[in-house]
Amino acid sequence: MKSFFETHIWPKRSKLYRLVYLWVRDRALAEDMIQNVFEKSFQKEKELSIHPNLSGWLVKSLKNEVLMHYRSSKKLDALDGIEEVQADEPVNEEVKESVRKVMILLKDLPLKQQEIFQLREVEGMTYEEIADYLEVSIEQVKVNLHRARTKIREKMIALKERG
Amino acid sequence: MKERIEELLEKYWEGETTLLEEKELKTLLNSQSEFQEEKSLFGLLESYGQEEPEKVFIPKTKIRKLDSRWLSWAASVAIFTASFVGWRAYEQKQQEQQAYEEVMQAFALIQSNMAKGQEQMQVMNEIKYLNTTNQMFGTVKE
Repeated sequence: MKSFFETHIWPKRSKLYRLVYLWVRDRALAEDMIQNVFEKSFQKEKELSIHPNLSGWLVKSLKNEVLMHYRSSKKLDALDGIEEVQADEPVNEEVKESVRKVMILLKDLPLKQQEIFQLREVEGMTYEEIADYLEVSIEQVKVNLHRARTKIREKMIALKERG
Repeated sequence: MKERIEELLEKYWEGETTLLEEKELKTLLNSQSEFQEEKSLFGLLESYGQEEPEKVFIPKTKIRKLDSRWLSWAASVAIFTASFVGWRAYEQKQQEQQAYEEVMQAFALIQSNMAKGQEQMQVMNEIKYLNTTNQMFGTVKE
């Protein structure tokens, strides 16, 4: 019989990975963070199997893991968030051109808008799913998605005019 | 079809499309030669969506955390038990040794008393040189 981890957490790895990648823009680091949180959730299987919002828990744990990593490597002070260290471009050179372009496209947006834009456009999630994922209200999701799309549109128009 | 695309795009940028409409929009765009920018944007996002983690694996075993407090308790109990058992074994050995010595001493005592008794019997040994009872008691005159 498959464990709770294998049936409920393991299938979420791709979406989670891309979200962490959006934060850190470093493949190896993103994979490390996922692995750490997976080890923790594996220990807590029982507790998590009755958790009302498993995805939300995983995302929150991943964010904490990333913050802890940056704080212990002295890149962040206790009060700073991920925004402070988010690199404009992917850290590791060997990255697909499409990934690099998406990161550049998103770089000027506030983190919340980047996250919501990605969850909608790349992962194809509903407002409700995004709200659970990021533990924000559906209203917040709609507003931020609208703002993100408006900014992306402006960028595209600017790019077009420049040729 | 173009009008439908433009309508959907407008809705899209306003953030009012449903997931279903977004899917429809992307499908429609694929069959169009125009709308290059939008097509390339959606193409990029789709390609990014195929990025997968490579070095992530299912954790193998549950790591049991040993409580160090209990561990030190267990260790002291083990040491205590071991020394008690060891001490008991030593005691027993000592007792066996003592008993053995006592027995040997008793044997030695018996042995020496036996020797004394045998010495007393030496006289009897000489009797065998006398050949008759008359000789022994001197009742026959020669």
